[in-house]
Amino acid sequence: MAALPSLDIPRILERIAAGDTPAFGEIVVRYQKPLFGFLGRLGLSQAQAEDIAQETFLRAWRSLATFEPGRAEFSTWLFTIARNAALNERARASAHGEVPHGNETAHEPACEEPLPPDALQASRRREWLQAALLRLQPTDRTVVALFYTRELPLDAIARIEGCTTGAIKTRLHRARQQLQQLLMENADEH
Amino acid sequence: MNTDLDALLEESLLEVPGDFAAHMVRRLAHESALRRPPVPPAASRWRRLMQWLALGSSLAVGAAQLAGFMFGLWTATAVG
Repeated sequence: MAALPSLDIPRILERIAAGDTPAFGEIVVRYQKPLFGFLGRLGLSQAQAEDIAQETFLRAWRSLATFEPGRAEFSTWLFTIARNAALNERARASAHGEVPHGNETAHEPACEEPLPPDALQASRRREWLQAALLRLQPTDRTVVALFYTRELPLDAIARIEGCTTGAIKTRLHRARQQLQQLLMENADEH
Repeated sequence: MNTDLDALLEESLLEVPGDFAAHMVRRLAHESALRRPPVPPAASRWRRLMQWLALGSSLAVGAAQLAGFMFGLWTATAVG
């Protein structure tokens, strides 16, 4: 996975402070892909993820004054907002019995025509992964979702989750073992 | 490390809508028109600078007081 360019966040904040609202767009462009990746791994549907991503950036915008560049990385701060918004959404959806189904979460084709074999295989792989992730414990799933954004070191994930780095390593190891087991079972079935 | 599993987990399960960033910027522009834009971060830097200045001034006043006390002691003992 190609590394995304780093941003001069303090400079962007200065531009926003000077009235350059579109400068925030650079932050959105930089973080939108890892953010959607994170939300997808958490088990949110495409529609839910779009809502949560918007809410995340909106909350970040409204709270920019509370962000202090010297105290935390911007990515840690942003993903903390995203995590809290996503968990609130999942809790709300569970309370209302809105559980995402496999084909709802995957990329939906634009028409009813059959997909090419490669696209079909990729779609099935994504559906399988989403279902496998949903079988993890919620705390383990969040750690996996954050870790595979490849944006956050373990100590930043520990800060977001409010636990020690050791606990994050344990959760990650447990989740990966479980996913590996499910992957092997899936390979045996096909 | 299982590279197959890693590669699978690094795949994005969802698509970013093509106009997502532009839509967000439009929404924020609307938001800025309705309410005050975020407080400039320069304000917090200014506050931090003032805090350091206040601390420095307090230290200087404290040091002057201590020097005055020491001078008083020295004067008293020198006269005796």
